[in-house]
Amino acid sequence: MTGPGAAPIRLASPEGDHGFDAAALERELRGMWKAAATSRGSVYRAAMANIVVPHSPSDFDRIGPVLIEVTRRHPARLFLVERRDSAPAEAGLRGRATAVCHLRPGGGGLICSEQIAITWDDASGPLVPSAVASLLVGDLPSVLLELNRGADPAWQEKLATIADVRIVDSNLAPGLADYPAIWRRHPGRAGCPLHDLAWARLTPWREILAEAFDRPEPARAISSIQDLMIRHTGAEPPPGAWLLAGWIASRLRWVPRQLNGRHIRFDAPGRPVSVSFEKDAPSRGPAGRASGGPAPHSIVEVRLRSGDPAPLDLSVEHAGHAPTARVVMRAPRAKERDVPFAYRELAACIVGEIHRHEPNLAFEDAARIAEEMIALWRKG
Amino acid sequence: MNAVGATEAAAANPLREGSVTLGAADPCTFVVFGASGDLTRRKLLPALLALSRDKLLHPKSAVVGFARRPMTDDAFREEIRESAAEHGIPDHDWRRFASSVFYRAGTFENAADFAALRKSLESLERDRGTPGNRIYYLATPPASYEAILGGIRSAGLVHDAGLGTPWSRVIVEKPFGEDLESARALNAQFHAAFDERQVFRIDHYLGKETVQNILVLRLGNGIFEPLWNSRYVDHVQIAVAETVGVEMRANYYERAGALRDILQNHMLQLLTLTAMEPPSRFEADAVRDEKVKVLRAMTPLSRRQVAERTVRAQYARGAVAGAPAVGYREEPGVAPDSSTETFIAVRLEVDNWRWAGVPFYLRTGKRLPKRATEIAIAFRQPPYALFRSAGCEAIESNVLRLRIQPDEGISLSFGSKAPGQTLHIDPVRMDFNYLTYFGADPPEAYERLLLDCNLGDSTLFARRDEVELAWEQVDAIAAAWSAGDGPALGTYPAGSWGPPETDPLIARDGRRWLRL
Repeated sequence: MTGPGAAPIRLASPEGDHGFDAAALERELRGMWKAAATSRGSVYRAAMANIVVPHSPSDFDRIGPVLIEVTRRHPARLFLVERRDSAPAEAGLRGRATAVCHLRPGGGGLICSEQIAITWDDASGPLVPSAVASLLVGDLPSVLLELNRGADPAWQEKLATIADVRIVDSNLAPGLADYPAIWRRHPGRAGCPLHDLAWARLTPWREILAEAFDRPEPARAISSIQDLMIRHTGAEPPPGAWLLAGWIASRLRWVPRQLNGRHIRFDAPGRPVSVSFEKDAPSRGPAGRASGGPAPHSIVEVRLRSGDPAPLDLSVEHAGHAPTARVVMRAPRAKERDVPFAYRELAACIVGEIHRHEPNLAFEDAARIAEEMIALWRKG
Repeated sequence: MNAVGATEAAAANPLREGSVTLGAADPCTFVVFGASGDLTRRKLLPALLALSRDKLLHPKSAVVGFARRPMTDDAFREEIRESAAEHGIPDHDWRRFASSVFYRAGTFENAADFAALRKSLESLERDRGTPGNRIYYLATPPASYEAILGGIRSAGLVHDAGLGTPWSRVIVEKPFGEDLESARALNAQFHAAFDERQVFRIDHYLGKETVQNILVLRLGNGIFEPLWNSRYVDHVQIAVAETVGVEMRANYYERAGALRDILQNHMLQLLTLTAMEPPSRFEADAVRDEKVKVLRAMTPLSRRQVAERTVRAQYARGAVAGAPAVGYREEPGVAPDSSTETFIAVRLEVDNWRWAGVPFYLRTGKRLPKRATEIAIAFRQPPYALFRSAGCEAIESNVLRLRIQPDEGISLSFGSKAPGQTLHIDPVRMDFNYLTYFGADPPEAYERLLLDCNLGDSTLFARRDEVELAWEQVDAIAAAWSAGDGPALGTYPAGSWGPPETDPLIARDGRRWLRL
């Protein structure tokens, strides 16, 4: 009952869903804790953050279980901000106070996260930011977690002004043209650090690539890389592929210049560099291995090549949830090895980003170059 | 009742040893002037009813309402019943209480009505076998105080201020004047009828458990007081945020504004409790002496300082707590060109040994995003940033937050290594919450204050010199504003944390407002 798969215990205010009234919701939460404290023994109301999650009803089936896992890992006051199809009897903002509790690891009581569900219709949507602001726990960081798939209402941007951290998932954007708009929400424009879960998922890729270049032979080749190829699932390169290319380019000071077919030419100190993206063929490579199969929007291979004076042909391959990745060196000498690949489930990625309070400069640099690459790509 | 008092009582009466109270409340008649008003219905009667229910009032105690509106005893009791129901008090508690409630109609300007009141009170006291102890509660606008005090005096309703019975006391609500001059005049009016020891000036904030806990936290624990000074404290923030607008109080609020309505009383009370030295004894005058010393150590702001250290503004249209809100000047009863401030932020200093160089930032406003009152003690950073080399540049200051309302409690934030193989420092907090720890809401402030008055303990009431010194601070700001030396009146959208000028006020000192 204590693990990630354990069913949570739900508490609900007897008042149920009603017209939004911040004071009433606070009262209901207090009443719930009072009742729970007397009837259920050790009930711990815990909150380490405010997490605000705008979503639509159709999103909730997908993100509901993720949010339960997030609050198990990181207890929080959770605001579920949901669009509602307008009905005359339910016009305006509405609110409901509930809680989700998990058994403490090792037993000995329940750890409960408060959940405040706020539903809105077209007319009342612009009031949502003020409704959320009135119920934030003041001395906790506030996180805006944007996992909604549909178009964001205009007022959602205002929620960012009350957040300390903004977490998005560019994988949920409809298409290539939409990724830059998401990355452009970074600090200085929206006021709080932006973290992209597509970037968070790159962490093991970045770790393995960085570690590969700690070794003497690849290290000698790092300033003469001429070719970067990223193989991906899906029809178009996913956000992670662009960000990974942007990250390598920004670290190695490559500047994107032009599109040649499906290759983007970069200027690097003393040489051109070609960056390309390839669709993964189902029958080839690591994606075919028994590892649960490749996830949509994922990277399956990164290959780096350089010429003289330090020839290198190095690739990293990974698929699905496999616990290891394969590092294949073909030049200067052939060598293969498996290395741990720290794959993280979505909830773990989210919690990892909640802990990150400072601006993520590496991500911002990567996103800037990725945006330039996408602009070239789309022109082509 | 207090600890020192209990010790003294135990010395005089060994059977008192271990007793948590000084004794039962004396039988007393509460005479409420303005009995048909909102304060009586919303606060006083529910508080008296709760005290009666909890057996904290003497069973022979009675309540007599006095107001202009003609009403029978039964009609008044019915009003209490409605109020009791609104506060979730069961009908049987009301029934028990109702037999002790009476009503007398009269006007405050008519001496004959006060003479009739005296007869009624004496008759009631004879019937109930009580010695004639009385608490007069002035639950009326200040404009009526003079007439009521005159009526009380001329009708001979006040007993001597001696320690024995029968005794007479008077409770007065804020505002205690509109400035220093009017406060002095008001005090003179009270002293024409009562001795200062008989005057109980209510600032209901002082009745809140969390406010009383400021002193317990500081002085009842070994770990905090050694840190409670300029050596360890970087600055203090005191905030009183309201979501409500001016509501039906425009007539009063237009003259008062946030400066007089909140800062002069609630906020300076919180400041003095935070900054005061430990009193030699935990009794009324010893505590209030120390609070007065804090106010004396605060030099009123000069006109130049008012310009630099204050921000004032008025709310404009916006949205608060999920509802649209009109601007202040659109509120009923507010002048369309009103220059009354609904928001103020100010940087104050306490010029004494303990607090030299530690700024106290105060901010209060109406139509802010949420309701919250808190005192935050922000501690200094450690002298050496040991973890900078590990990439941890900006470790947040430790902040001790005393949440006065709502969600009453105390939290302390500090940096902790986040789990993992790398050194990442996360701000975390230790939190104490009254409700979840004690499983009950703290009692209403009015219950505590009415009981204390009944017991003759004025620790939680404002003394004359406190009030007047607080007005000195406020008058300096108001005078500079009136003279045009202060900052221009800004505006802020309802539902925001004040005007843009608020941030520079603290940012120029290299600090930031804490989120409430």
